[in-house]
Amino acid sequence: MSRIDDELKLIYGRKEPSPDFTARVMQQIAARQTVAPPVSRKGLWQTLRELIEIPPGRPKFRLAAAGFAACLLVALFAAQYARREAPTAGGPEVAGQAGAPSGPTTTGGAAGSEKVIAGGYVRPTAIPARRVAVRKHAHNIARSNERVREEPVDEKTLAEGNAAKEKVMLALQIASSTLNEAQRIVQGDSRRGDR
Amino acid sequence: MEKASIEQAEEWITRSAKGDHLAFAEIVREHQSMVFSMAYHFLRDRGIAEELAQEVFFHLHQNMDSIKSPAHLTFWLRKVTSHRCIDQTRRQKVRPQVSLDDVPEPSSFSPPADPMLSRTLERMVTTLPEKARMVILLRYQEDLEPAEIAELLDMPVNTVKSHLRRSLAILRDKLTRCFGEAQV
Repeated sequence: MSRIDDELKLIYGRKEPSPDFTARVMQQIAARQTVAPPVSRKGLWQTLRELIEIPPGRPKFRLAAAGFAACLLVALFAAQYARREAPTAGGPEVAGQAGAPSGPTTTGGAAGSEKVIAGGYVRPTAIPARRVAVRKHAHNIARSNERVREEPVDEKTLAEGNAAKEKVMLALQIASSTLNEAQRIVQGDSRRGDR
Repeated sequence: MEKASIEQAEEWITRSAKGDHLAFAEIVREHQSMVFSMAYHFLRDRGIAEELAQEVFFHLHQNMDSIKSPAHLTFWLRKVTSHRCIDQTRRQKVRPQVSLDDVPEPSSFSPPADPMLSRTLERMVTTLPEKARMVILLRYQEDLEPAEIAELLDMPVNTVKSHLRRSLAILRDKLTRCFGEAQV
């Protein structure tokens, strides 16, 4: 070992702290333990309850404020609900337009639940606009089917239809035979490969 | 101070973990010299070193549950102290911000006495980078092997060996220039 190692060992010899070091450490630990009490966190409900809670003998301003806030919320909710239901007001109108040519049945379906108020104002009851639209669509389909069934078919159109049908059948037969041939070739190849 | 037996040390650890302050005081007494010496040699300031050592023991008190054995306790204290020392130096810039080459060499080249050599060596060590200085400290104060130092400082063993080799070479070179071949 060289001299420098000896010198370094000498330099880095153990040193003692001041005599009251242990006492100070223990004092510090005790002090920090007493200073830091457990932190209690208020929950959301507790905070809300405290907010609404009225101390005895105090004017009931808080209660009034809470009531006012509740009323405001209800009013807002009602306004929002009325806005969402606004398209239903056009319900009878739509039903009326769609149902007019086909007779009173359709109109009755949509507008059957209307209430006639004094003064001639027709107030619609709550039928969602989407349901009205679905009914209208179904009605249109039924009408077009009836129209197809009622139209007379002439001889020429019938002959053209039959010729087209035969052509399609022939094409299907050719495609089927080609597919069978191809499958046979593929199977034959795989068997040869196994052997 | 006499070293406590392993059984006694284990008993102190168990009792401290259960909140026995007297047992914890015994642990502090047992290890205060090691912790304080590390802090003092690294920071070169008695007041800051004592404060740091107190903080280390306070931290130990909070983590007494995690201590498994006397060996683990020593390892824990060395690790926490070394990391705190490095942090402290970086935070407060206690270490003189000069490179080793900038350390003034003594004007006299006459063969000096040993205290002079020690003081010069001490001053030169303080100019080493933090990690290298901590490696030297753990090697010569705590007499640890490079593998143990590597585990304490979370660095590869080869890096520790490289730090040791390079630091000693620099110190030797510098001392040779100061005092001559015969003295070093």
